[in-house]
Amino acid sequence: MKQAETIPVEVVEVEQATPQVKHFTFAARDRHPLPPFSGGSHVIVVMRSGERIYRNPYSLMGSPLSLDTYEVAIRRADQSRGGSAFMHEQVKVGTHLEVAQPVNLFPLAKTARKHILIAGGIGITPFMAQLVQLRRQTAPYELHYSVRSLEHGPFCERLKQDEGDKVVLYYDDAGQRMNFHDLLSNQLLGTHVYVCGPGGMIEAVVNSARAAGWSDSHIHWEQFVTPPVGESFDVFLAKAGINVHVPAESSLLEAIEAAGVDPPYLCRGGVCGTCETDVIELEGEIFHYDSFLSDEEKASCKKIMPCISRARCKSLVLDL
Amino acid sequence: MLISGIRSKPVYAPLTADHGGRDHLLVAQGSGGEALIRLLDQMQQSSSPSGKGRYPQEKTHTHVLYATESMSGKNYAGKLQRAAGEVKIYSTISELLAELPSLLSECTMGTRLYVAGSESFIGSVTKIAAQFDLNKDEIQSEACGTSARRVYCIHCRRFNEAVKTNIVECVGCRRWLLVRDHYSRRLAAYMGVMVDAEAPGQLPPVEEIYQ
Repeated sequence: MKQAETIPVEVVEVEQATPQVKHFTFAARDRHPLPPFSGGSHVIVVMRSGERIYRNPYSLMGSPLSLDTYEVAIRRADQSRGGSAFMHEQVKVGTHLEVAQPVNLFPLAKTARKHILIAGGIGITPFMAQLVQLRRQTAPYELHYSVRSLEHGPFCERLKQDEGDKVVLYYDDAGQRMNFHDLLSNQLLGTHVYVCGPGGMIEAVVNSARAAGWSDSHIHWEQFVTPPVGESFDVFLAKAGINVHVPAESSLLEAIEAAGVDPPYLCRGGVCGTCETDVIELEGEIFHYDSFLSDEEKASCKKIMPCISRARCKSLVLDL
Repeated sequence: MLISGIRSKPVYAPLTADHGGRDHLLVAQGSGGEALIRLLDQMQQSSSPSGKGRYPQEKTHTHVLYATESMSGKNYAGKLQRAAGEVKIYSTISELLAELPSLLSECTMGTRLYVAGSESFIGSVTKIAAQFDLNKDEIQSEACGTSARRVYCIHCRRFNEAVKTNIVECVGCRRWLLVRDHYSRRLAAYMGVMVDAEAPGQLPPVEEIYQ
């Protein structure tokens, strides 16, 4: 599958939102409007750092109503493989980048009678765009947003200003914690909950919602995992007939792309399932980091998501 | 002449207790009462102190609504009252349907809806439930008794109730309609399409196939 063409963009604004988060605004290099998107969408940002190409997914946080620019907020990862460090250190106003077409794997439910948004830290970004949509419709909504402190909470002031009492802020340094059980009990029939934040928060919200009797069709979450750094390993691509070395700092997908093979992908964060690949032969073990395959599929090791997962193996043959 | 494998045709299955839910709303009409008795029995057995539920620490509630109106004349009101304790009984389906929205508006997330009865009863209840954004994983339905169909005339937009034959004369426009498997959840009815449009008066044999 040929990847959709990317759009050349230029950075037109950079704002230091918190000590660890930068807020970037992109415009198309030809200044034409960018493709439309709905709240919850992400784009892959393509960064070229010398020989190395990074393709990282970031949620679009600007208004879906103004397509002159795209906005993303990027937290500098504690153990960056290079993508977020590149954005923080190298990218300035005037830098040229590319973005792929927006994709929404975390949309608002159109039939919802009420929306509850739960964010932790940088997980606020998809909600920034969704709030623009929510303000223009009639179903009630509320945002519960947990941050380390006011200083480390991206966009807290702006949210309070725009949303008033629809947003409840929880400051870790003041000992304020969300009580998911209370939040999700006795909610109006037809309510949907959306959560984006650290893995532990997502798990806690999903568990609390289920414990309160919520059915899964009303529970939405999104968590992009950045490909973890691991040990290097080798893989053989059966269709291409080539051996590929996967360095410790590079994801399997990145290594395959560097070797000149372009498998399909969409999210590059282990969420969407587009890059699912059949494992033809395995001597060793696969480390599945995605949230797409079922536990049984992971255990069987017949499939792998190259965007995020790795292996420690004597031999691994993929159907690519 | 009938196109088979139409995916909009609803699929029904025996009601089973969904232990993920906190509140259970059981709604039936006529011979659907029997399905509710079976479900209540199953719920009672599985909610024994050993607690088979996924989250046994939370208390669950069960509400039962029953309309005695029936084509087959079966009435399970007495048996249901013995099985459930409290049952709201309605003498007509329309009375039950009229009260359902206000009951659903008092329900909270964690509610499961179980529906049993004729297909057109199920369709009417499902249509109301959709207004409260109840999804497929929150509603179960079991068709009981008659398989007679509610048919929507696509020409004059009248509904033909309790149709048992493959071809029916529309009560509105008197056209002869072929009863299709194409089902509309919005209308809670099967589509009826003029059967002799090309060759007026030439009808295939009329058979009673929805008993």
